[in-house]
Amino acid sequence: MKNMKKVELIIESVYLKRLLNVFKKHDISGYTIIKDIEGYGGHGLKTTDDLTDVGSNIYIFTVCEDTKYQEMDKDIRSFLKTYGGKCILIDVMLLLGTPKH
Amino acid sequence: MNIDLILQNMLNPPVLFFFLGMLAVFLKSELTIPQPLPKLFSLYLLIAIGLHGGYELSQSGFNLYIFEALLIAVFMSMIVPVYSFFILRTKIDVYNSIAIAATFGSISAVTFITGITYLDTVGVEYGGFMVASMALMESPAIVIGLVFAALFAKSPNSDGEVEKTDWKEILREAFLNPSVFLLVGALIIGILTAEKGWHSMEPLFGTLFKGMLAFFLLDMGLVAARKIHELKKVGFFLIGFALIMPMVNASVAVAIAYVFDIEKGDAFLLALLSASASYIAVPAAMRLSVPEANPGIYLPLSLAVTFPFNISLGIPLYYFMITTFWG
Repeated sequence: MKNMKKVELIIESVYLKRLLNVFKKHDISGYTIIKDIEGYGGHGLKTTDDLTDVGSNIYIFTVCEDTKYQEMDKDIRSFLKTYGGKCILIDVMLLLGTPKH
Repeated sequence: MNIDLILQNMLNPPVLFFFLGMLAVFLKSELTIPQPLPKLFSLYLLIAIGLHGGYELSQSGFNLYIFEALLIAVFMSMIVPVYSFFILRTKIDVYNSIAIAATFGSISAVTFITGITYLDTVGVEYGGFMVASMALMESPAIVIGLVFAALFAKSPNSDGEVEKTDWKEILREAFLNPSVFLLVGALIIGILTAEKGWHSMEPLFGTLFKGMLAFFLLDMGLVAARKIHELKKVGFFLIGFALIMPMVNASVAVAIAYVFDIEKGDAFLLALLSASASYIAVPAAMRLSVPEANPGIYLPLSLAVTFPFNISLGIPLYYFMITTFWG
């Protein structure tokens, strides 16, 4: 089993397409998205009943090889500096199946 | 201004539902509307006014008068963000000036809808083509915001590079955002299917209209009241801006409409559209194009100050201005 990284991101919904462009640039072709998440953080309470997507958050995660993550680390950091959000990295092992990326 | 005009507007059930929503938040009631429903109400309202506007337009046809009114609408949506930007720049930074100017240059569909229910209440006619004016007024402010961002707000990012504006993405957001797309689509369907089409859809999109508007405004009241606490960070200048600019914009629109001999109901709607501020399409576009601007400023200004002002006092005030000139 190879060392893998689970990359979890919580970002503003409006920037989803831009994050997915970062994934695409690094050939990350598999990911999971959970829309309309709620929680409390540095920007106060985030709820999902607003009329507009501005301010609503979204959760994305992907699992990739360690080396693949290192390749996109700079772009993820740059994304977070520009658009805000959180990124959590977790060392994981996959029980079955290996991601293509 | 006659107090009857204010009461006539305020004692309209949908408007009262807006304040009921606000009251629920102030009294810490647990009242909520399940998440997907407000979006459904918003889609419903856009289809309803688009279809009805298209039907009216199919009856009246297209003439020079309509062309003039549409041109005034576009002119207002272009000039408001320009002068708003330079007023804002006297006190606040360039990023927030752009976002607020664009927000106030665009329009609020629900303010427009509340305005037409008011005209129905006072028995003043208006042209169905005004729905097309509303659709036309949504996007120019976004484009002007983008131009201002390109001219005045290009700063290097954390890596010292000036980021390239993705015009394609943002222009798609400006002209093909769900509100404009659905509104224009429903308007065209209304024109194509004319009287027969409208009568077949009327039970859902005509008869139930005011009830659905009440539901939507109830949710707007909840959202607006939750944003009020954010105004503490905004400051008096911007709160004053959000209260005074709608009146200034409406006055400019009334003056232009008067010069061009626009009819009373249409002039009122032009004033109201010019006075309203966006809280859906423009904030989303500004978040993409000017991420440095703080949505905790421009969104509460539009939702928690200008919107409640317009649907409570603004509508009777602009109607009073109109009746003063038009009689």
